[in-house]
Amino acid sequence: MAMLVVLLLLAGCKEIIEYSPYQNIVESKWKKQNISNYNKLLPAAKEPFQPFRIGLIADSHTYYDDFEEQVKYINTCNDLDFIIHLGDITLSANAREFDWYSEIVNKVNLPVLTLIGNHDCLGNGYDIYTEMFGESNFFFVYKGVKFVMFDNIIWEKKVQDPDFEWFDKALANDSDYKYVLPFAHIPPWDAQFTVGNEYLYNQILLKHNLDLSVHGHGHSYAYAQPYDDVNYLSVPSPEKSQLIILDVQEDAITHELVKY
Amino acid sequence: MIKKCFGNLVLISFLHLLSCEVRAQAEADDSLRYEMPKMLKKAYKERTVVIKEDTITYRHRWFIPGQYKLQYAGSIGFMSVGFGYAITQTYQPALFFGYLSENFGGSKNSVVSISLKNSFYFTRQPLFRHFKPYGGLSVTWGNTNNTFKRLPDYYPKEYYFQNKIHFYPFLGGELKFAINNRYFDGVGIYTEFSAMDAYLLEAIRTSYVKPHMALSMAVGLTFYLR
Repeated sequence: MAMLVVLLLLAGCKEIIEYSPYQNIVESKWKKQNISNYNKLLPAAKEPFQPFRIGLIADSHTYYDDFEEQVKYINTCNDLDFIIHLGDITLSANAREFDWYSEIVNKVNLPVLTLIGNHDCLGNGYDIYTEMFGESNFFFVYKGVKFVMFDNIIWEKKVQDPDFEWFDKALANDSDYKYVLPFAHIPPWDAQFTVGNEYLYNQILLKHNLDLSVHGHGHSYAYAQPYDDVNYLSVPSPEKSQLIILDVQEDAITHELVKY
Repeated sequence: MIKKCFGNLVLISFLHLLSCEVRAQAEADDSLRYEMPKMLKKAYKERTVVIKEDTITYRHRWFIPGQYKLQYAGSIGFMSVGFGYAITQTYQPALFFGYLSENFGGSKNSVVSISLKNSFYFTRQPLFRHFKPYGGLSVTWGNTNNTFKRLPDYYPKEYYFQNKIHFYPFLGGELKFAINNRYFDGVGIYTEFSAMDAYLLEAIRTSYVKPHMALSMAVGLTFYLR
């Protein structure tokens, strides 16, 4: 009888088997989600520029209930093209936290592109992220706009500097893009950045004539110009019950803070 | 995934067959019992020591573990081996060494776990002759990339909670059968459910994480030294 129970459990719910909370075993349906989700944006993504709106979320960590509320709200918005999550999808990068994030975020009716956050790099998190979502530094083009997703995690990755060389190259407007938009989890004024890195981040944006940089990490909404020319937009976490909508128009990019 | 499930089923079926075999052996004629090997006889020889006016009798080589365990899953590796002691009839801790890697469990990163499993048996005598329910708390050290007991210096104070040591409360049950073997006189097959502290916290804190989502199942065998 006991054996039968064991057999049923093993056959029925494989989720109950965990070899380690640090394991890097990603189910095939959840592999390289940023690539599969971008593919869902095709062929519209290849069309020439026309105005569109996207939703920005960040720092869902283990605020699962608030995150589910946010997903429900997003599914009532029918004027968004896709969603960008600005990182920190886990608290401690334990294997099941990645699974739980994937389960919730896949309830969004729109494709979601997920950046890496500092919490996601604890344990084997960095490797799990790359298995689950793809490269941590990546860019994509949507309707003539280039989205540059920059992995700027330092402490948790045990590096001195983020890959600024890649960032600089990726930000180049090499194909007559209408806009180039940088996204990174950590804002440059955070303690993870040295004075030099903070200065360099802003300088690279100035070099490419960019005036908007989007970040997570702070858990609260903010829109500021700490270094004069560049606007820094900070995306709130789900427990704030807010959604940022980025409105990419013909002549400007504006954003709305929606409370739900 | 089907392959993995099938693997699990094969393992369980094998364990089941083994337990049937063992029961049949144990019920066989007692006169065929093996003699205890010299090594064990020597190890069990009682020694006495006189301290002032007290005479103390103790089992020589008390440190030899009385229980040898082989476990599948349970958050301490793909497979792990354990060495247990029957400190009392109810308190029987065991130290486990577990391993997980790409070729041994299918994880792209390998993990070495050391776990001290503190098991407390709920009954002195097994229920229905063979069943021994137990529960307890295990402490597990996980060694892999980027786990730390103390945060590296460059972090602000208390930026993260340590992620190397985790506590797992657990509940389990073992079916124990007598066997006739030169070295072992009993074998048990056990199943247990544990919950890592971090997962348990989410199960308590959020309604999204249901209690069963925090559970991790293990199955294993125990061989009891004579």
